[in-house]
Amino acid sequence: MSMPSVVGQGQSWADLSDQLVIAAIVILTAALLAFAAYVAHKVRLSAEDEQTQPPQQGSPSPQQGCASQQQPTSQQQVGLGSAQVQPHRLGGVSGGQRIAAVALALSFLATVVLGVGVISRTLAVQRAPWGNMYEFSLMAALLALVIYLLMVLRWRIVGVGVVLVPLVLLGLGVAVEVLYVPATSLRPILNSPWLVIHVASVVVSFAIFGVAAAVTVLYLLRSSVRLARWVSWLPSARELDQLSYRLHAFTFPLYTFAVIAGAIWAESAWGRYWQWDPKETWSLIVWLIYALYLHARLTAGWQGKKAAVIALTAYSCFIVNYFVINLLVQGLHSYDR
Amino acid sequence: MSREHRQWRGMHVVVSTAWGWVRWGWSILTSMRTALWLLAVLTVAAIPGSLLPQRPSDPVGVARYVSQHPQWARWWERLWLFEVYSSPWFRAVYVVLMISLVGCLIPRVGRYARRLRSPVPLPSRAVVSSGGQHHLRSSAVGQWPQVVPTVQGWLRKRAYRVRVVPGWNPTQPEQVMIVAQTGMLRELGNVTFHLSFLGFLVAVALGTHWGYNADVALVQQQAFTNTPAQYDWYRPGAGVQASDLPQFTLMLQQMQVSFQRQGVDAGVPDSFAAHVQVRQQPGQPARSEVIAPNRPLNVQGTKVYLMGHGYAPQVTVRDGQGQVAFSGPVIMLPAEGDVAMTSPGVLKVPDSQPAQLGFEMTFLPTGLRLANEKGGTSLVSVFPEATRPVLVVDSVWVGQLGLDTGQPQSVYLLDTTHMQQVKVGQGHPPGHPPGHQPVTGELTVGTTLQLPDGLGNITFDGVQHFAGFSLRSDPGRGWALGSAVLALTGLVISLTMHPRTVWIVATPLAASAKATATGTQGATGWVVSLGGRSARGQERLERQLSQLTHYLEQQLRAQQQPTPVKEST
Repeated sequence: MSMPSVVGQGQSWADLSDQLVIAAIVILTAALLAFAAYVAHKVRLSAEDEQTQPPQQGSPSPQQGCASQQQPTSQQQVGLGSAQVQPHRLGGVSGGQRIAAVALALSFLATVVLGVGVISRTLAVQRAPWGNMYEFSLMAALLALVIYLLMVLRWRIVGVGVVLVPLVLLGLGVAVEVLYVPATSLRPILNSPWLVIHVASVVVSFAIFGVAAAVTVLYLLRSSVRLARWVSWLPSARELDQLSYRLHAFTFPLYTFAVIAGAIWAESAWGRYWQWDPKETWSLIVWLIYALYLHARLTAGWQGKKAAVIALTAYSCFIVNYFVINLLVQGLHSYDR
Repeated sequence: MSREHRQWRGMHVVVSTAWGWVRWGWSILTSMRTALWLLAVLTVAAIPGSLLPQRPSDPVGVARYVSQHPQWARWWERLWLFEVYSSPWFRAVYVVLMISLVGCLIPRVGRYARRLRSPVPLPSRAVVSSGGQHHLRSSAVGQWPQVVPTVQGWLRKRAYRVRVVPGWNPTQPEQVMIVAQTGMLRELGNVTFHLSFLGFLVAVALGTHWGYNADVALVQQQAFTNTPAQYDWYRPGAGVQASDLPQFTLMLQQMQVSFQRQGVDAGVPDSFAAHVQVRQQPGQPARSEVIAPNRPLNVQGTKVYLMGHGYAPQVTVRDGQGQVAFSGPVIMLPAEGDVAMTSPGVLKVPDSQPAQLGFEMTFLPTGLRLANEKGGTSLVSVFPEATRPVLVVDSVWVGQLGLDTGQPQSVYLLDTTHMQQVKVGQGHPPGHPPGHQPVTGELTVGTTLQLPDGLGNITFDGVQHFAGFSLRSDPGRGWALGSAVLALTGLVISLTMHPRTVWIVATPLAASAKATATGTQGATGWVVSLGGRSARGQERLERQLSQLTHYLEQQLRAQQQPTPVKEST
């Protein structure tokens, strides 16, 4: 079913937006290459380091403490602290620092270009820029990049970009190739303030959970014994685990709010706040798995790698909810067809 | 552990008695590990309901699936997979999860209340002597007791519960300890979240039990009273009687729809509004209201939603004896996915003589004859607004409609098992072949289709709109929302508060053995050591201890001045 399209001035904004998105993809690809060079450099550096001196990382302990009843006292050296990644790992050789700077600069540029693209799309459609899957994907990619750059600013953890940038690039590519729709205005049933609130909180949750998933992947890599040679340049496993927990713990209430807002919107639009619509059901499934993750972190024997796997399962289900349910399964949510 | 002894909350329990087994089983049920597994099972259990059509929300889809995959459908039916969320096994999972949750929560609430009432717990001597990375040495011949109140104030400002314990250490009675605890709200948030979540589930269950759902399609100028007999579809909760329903009346005055006229996407609706007259109680004056998408009407606790709209052509059917057998609007539901709102429908005329008649028709709001790909022309609707209405009679049937059998029939489907299609040429004088051409017609407003064999005729009089309304009543709705909001608040609190304990132990450097615990007689200075304990958030604890150390340094330095100077932190 086709949607009312925009005309005149709106169309030129829409064209500008399309071009900017493509430009962002190109810049981000360059950033990806820079990140790859960064990884290669770091791996080679740490291989050389291993030969010349014994490895002196912060304790790469994958498990987080013993029985949950015991509270560790403060006299332990609190690792490296989330505020200070050992600087010599980042800029040990100035080349590594330079490559990282290039990668970050390109990511920043791509983010700015993508941001302007989203703004011009907003101007084209005269409504919040998440009315269909294409716009939603753009917004999620933009937010993920922004959060990553803020993280780099605050915690100087560049390594997350190695996993996040390919993910974002993949998302943008799918958005442009598969999900693209011309700029349209909104159907009456969608014209509700709760639309803005619900979808906004979902897209933000999706973005932050995505960054958290990237951090979790890094954590799993870092705590893997087999890959130790390749990943010893990353921040310690404990640090990555802490960061992953903080991101998840921050976003979980936001996602809970998103689901509640969705229920409120459903109530005002369809009369029932919960009717086991496939999308609603999968939102609940994702929520339950993230709840499982938070509970697992408090249970002895389930911390560390098991919890990390649970978190990644949750994000995979989130992606399933987004792609599979939207496109394949018919339900009340299928506004995109 | 031998078979006879099991762990229960850290105590060994003899399970050779039945009660022992019960207690052990209960401790397993309410453990965190069980909760984890139940959450995982619930997650997996919810999946099939999203992949297969479900009977409560999509009965048509279920029927379609059954006809397409009869073998699989039989198996899914046995496992309740067409009604997963009301199936016994799904219910079992979440009931057990709820029991586990309640069983874990109640003792926790008790323990939390006790902790709140009891004073700040002292850390053990072992912990204090092994901890305490932050040391201060002050050579001030200072009055540690003078510093204590300011330290207390500093801690209290940062939401700590403070307790001063002189003589806490029996082996060193001159030592003074200040112990402070914060973050007690976390457990409150945690408990609030879980209890509110339970409250939410209860609100959902009770709301469904005492609520009802109904659908009704109303033609313009048609009045409706809120009784089950007038619904098109009705699903009450188990606790709802027909007499409980609020007796309001609703009349659709006008169904206003505006369509986009230009552009590539002409025909898509811009806005809908149903103008209705509502009478809340019989005898009360009627008032005008507008129902639109996202703007339901709330009358007596029941919300009326505008769910759809369409056309109801007015027809008159005269039977073979010239009597009017039917006159009125026929609601025809627009075909799904068609922007131009081609609407198939059915008209049943049980009162016509000599035999009952049935008509299968299609209404085209803007009917035009266009060239089709087979080289001929076909009559299609090109725009959803009724600018050139055409009523196409696809087939006419005569016989028994089956309305007397007592079996419910859909208003929108014609059961032709006891009917014959009317064809031109039937009943001609013997010797002539019977006709094979089914009777069809394309009627514009005001035209009539004559039926052969003295069966009558059908006239297309005009076009009306109809609006589809959904009535929803859910008394638990407000409670559900309140519980959800409370749960969210509790969740935020539990994830942002960090319980931790800090302690300050001050030991006087006693020159003489007569130094008492509180006095400083003979003390030439104090050694102050700080430590803390936190389950998570080590950095925060470190930061807090550093801040406290700086503050203490300042205060103790201030004590060195001849006249004590009250320094601000």
